[in-house]
Amino acid sequence: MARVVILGAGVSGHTAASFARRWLGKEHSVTVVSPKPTYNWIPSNIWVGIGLMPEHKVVFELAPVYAKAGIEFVQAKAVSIHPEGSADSSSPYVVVESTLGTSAGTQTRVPYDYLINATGPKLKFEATPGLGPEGGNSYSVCTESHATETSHALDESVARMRRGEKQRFLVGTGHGMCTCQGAAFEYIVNLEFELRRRKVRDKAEIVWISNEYELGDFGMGGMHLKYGGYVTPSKIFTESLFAERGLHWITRSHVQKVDPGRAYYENLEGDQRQIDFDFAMLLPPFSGVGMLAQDRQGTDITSRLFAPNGFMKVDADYASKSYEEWRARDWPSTYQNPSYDNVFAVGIAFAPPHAISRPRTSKTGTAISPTPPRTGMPSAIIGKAVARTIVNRIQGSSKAPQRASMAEMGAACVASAGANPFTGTAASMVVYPIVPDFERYPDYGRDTDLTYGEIGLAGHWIKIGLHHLFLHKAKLRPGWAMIPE
Amino acid sequence: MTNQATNPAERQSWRPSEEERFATKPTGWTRFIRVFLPYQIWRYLVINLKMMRIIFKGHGHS
Repeated sequence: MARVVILGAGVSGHTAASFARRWLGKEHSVTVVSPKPTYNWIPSNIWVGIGLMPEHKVVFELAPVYAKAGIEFVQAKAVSIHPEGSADSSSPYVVVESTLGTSAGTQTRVPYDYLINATGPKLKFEATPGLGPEGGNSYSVCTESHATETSHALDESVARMRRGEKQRFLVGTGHGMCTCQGAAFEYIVNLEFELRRRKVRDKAEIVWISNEYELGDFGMGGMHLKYGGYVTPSKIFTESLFAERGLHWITRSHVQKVDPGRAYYENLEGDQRQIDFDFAMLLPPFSGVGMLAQDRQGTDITSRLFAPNGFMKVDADYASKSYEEWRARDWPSTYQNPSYDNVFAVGIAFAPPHAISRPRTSKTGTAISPTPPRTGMPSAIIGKAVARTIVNRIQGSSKAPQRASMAEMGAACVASAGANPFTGTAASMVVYPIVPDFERYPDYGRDTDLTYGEIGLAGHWIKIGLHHLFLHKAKLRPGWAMIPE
Repeated sequence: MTNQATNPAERQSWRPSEEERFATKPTGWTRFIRVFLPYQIWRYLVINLKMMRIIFKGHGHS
């Protein structure tokens, strides 16, 4: 009997657990450890944060789904990994701390034969003083409860505008090293659409702030699309959408501090600036969740398993290189830890070898450039590939590990730009590959026949369809395994 | 943390960039076609096919 343990029940971990359970015989166990009792379909948090969707439509209880599927569920947070076991046993295990009711805080050991680290990120609001909804001065849509709080704040701003007050909305990234610009982009265009629907748009000034060098970078170094007889950078399309909607933008900026109603930021020129706001939705930077690792003697080996940012080391090339030396093959493909081949990291939890966008620092030495995204479709594909690798090994197959490099896979992304079945729109984007490969595609790093984007109502229909389809899949309802990642 | 101007008065307040004036804007026809039902039904099919092509091309392999 083999024990497969998955830390985290986000898109990547949940996908890995579901497929591992489906492919493995009942003599083997699959255990998911997650600090929250619910699954959150995060892409739809945008609509919760706008007030168009209640929180319960984007979450569901994991325990009954896992009970039906035969997956053991432990509601706890992972504290430390012991890949060599302890002095009294060579069986590897994870120490977890319960987050459930009266047992909260109790630590137990969860033994494993194969471990998948899918913890996702720590939302590092503390990197910017005053950032975030928990004791800070800005809002977020990173979790369903953050999104609900944001929608209530939006309602208050709308009420003020209905009384004739002007409001300034500040939306974007709350630190120079943020990722997930796509989520902030969705929020700002949905916000503008919603304010028009509520007939208060004339009272609102909406400003974007981000660490991107150009609009449309999205942490992927932007993309080039064939359109109207030209190969055009995504900057042009994104600026066009912002200009059409009357959205202002600040790029190349690191938010240093958020006071009540005022954000302080520095740009690449080293200029110190400030902007006042009535409502701010600023996403935090991410780091690993801060798990520790110990060897059999109890010696700390955290740095052997994890990069300094807390993300887990996998089969990537982590050698320090200049941007010009970066190669697509630096990116991992099997997600296996180099020290322990029964430990894997998927989704946001794996340490990327470097950014995708060119790194930049301001004249005062502040790093201001997006870190690489690894959410959504690629994280699910990676979770499934790692599950297949583990299942093959358990079943004694001599097949090579499944490969799922972000430099060899494409991604389809639909970014909502207004939610209405007849007047709404969304940007439908396809990129191939996700990580540019300038050896295969010297001009733009990507295949311009496959990389594609357009804005329209059709995209909104697809976005609605994906919401229902992926929740159906996550709930492991009939036919779930047929739905592609 | 990074450097911050010690005196808030030394900071420049924000105003929209002049560059915003030079952004490309869609014509009325482009805006119309984005929500024109018959055309969008066609685009729905096309976009789905394009996405399916990427899905089948990009999944993990041995």
